[in-house]
Amino acid sequence: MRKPKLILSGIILVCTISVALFFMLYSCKKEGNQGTLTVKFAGYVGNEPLSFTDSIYFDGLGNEFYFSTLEMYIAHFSLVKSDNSLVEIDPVVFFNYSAPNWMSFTVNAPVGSYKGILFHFGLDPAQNSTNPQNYSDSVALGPQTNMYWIGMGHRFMALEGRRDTVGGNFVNGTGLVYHVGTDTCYRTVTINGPAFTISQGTNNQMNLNLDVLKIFYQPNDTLNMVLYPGTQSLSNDLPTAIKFANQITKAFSYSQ
Amino acid sequence: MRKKYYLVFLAILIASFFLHNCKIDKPIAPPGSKDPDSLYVGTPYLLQQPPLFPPMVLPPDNPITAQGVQLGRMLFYDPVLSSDSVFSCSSCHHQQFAFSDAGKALSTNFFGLTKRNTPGLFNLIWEKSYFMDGRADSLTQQIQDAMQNEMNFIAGVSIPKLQAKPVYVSLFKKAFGRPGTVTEANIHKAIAQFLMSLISCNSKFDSVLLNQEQFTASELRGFNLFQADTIAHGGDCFHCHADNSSSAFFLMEDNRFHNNALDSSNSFAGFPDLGRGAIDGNFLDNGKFKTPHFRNLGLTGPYMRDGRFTTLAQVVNFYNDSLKESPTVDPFMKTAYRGGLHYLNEQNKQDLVNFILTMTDYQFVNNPAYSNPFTK
Repeated sequence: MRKPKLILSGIILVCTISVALFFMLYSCKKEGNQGTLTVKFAGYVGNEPLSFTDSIYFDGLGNEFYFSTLEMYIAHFSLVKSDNSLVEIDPVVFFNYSAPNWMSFTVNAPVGSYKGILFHFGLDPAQNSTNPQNYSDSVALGPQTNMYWIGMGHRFMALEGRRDTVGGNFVNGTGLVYHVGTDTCYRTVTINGPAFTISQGTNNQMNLNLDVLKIFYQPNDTLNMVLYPGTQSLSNDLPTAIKFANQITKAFSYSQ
Repeated sequence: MRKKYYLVFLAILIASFFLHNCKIDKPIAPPGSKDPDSLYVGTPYLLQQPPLFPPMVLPPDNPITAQGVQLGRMLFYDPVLSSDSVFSCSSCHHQQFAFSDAGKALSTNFFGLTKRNTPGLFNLIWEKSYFMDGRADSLTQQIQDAMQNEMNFIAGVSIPKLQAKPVYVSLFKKAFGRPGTVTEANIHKAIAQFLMSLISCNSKFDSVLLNQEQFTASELRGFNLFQADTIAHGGDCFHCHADNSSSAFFLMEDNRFHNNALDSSNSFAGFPDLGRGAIDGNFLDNGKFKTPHFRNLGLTGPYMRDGRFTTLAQVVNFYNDSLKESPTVDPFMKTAYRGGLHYLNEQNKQDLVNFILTMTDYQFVNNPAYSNPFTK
């Protein structure tokens, strides 16, 4: 009579442990099939890496210039699937080329193959209307970025430097101050290819490249830094900001 | 019955195993006060976070205590740290002048005249670098530099003098937890704690922004000039001294380095003082200096890195009509090419000065907690 009882207890024990283990594994594992993606921001001036240290650049059209600040918001960073559906992996990203802690972001992304990326230059109107004081310093929309204009929203980009004609040694040059913002300058950036995959559990890498020179020089479209050395996105210089926003959508690329 | 107990036991066992695996990481416990090496535990010093200022970030390796602040205050005022027992920090940093050396373009220290004007000392806890060229990354580094290069601190001379005074031996023990802690590193830490306690946040400017007072008409006009871009014919001060949209606004400086068109130079190497460029070796930083405070300027003249301007009116005039071109002029100095703003009239200038003077914090300069502890 005791043997069947022992067998029954054993069966109950094994079943209970199996159910618990299944539940435990199901509950503890990470969501879906995800991989980790780190996106690093990389600046270029033509083929040269952008540097704020001892680096002077030329445009081949008689101008020499250097940069000292590059800060930028992008919104709704998404991966594009082959059927053109989007997988948003980060709603808002801030890059500061002078601050290593703002030069990359790491997020989970669904495992799979993708044909491109899509994001927005700047912040969407809802994000743009938020007050940094409502956030902690460590988040992209927080006060530490120092990108907020009261009454105007956030600067989407701050690009600063100095320009002179070649040989002028910058003595009588002009400052370059492009502070681009307002909802009017919010733009979509779509980059088709190269195709890439997100693998499970591995640290997938992507470089988001910005060629600053392409902001000023597109094959059939120029933002003349001599005539338009800056903008504060105010009413009287908003056209320069809009031109800047249009041009920058064609200045990004990515690589793995 | 035995089966029921058995199953209950089994369920508890599985549940505990399950919880153990799925729980969120426990926060790491702070270093315990039961450290056997720690004979004294200082009384935490409560730094009041000023409203609307950015959050304070305290150095993890130098927890601020009442004993540490008291010790630092004494060391700040005591000439014991200079090799000749003549100079203390307070020789050049006077409380009544917001801890600047008011009236002096350059100060006199152990080695003679300083290279640059002595700045005021307050709100240092929010700084990201120290000295006008940013050569110190922390307050303790800044203090070490000043002790060596301004007071000729020699450990073998000053530490025995401190060890000979029971009050110091006792305070070092209480501040740093172990006997025999009269060390150079702990001197730096103690003075840093005192300097961290120097918070200036009680000027009229603060009261106005907290809706407790109102600007006069002139001060308000000056504030609007401070905030307005050159495009709007403003003073355009805010680009470096922080606009009122950022939490840095209450600090009134952006913690960055700029060339404010003070000196002309025909080459990157031609500046009379290379400033930041001499520290980081980047010629694009030559002639740049850390943005100074806008607060307490009514007490901290003369102005600019070499104290060349004796009045605030002269400073405003400089930005209006005396900017100089050089290869690293800050892009925010948008009118440097024409020598300055040139559109401020006398009323505008006076309004700007009146606004600046609202940032004078008389509570700060009269706070007995910051005064010389050796003076009755």
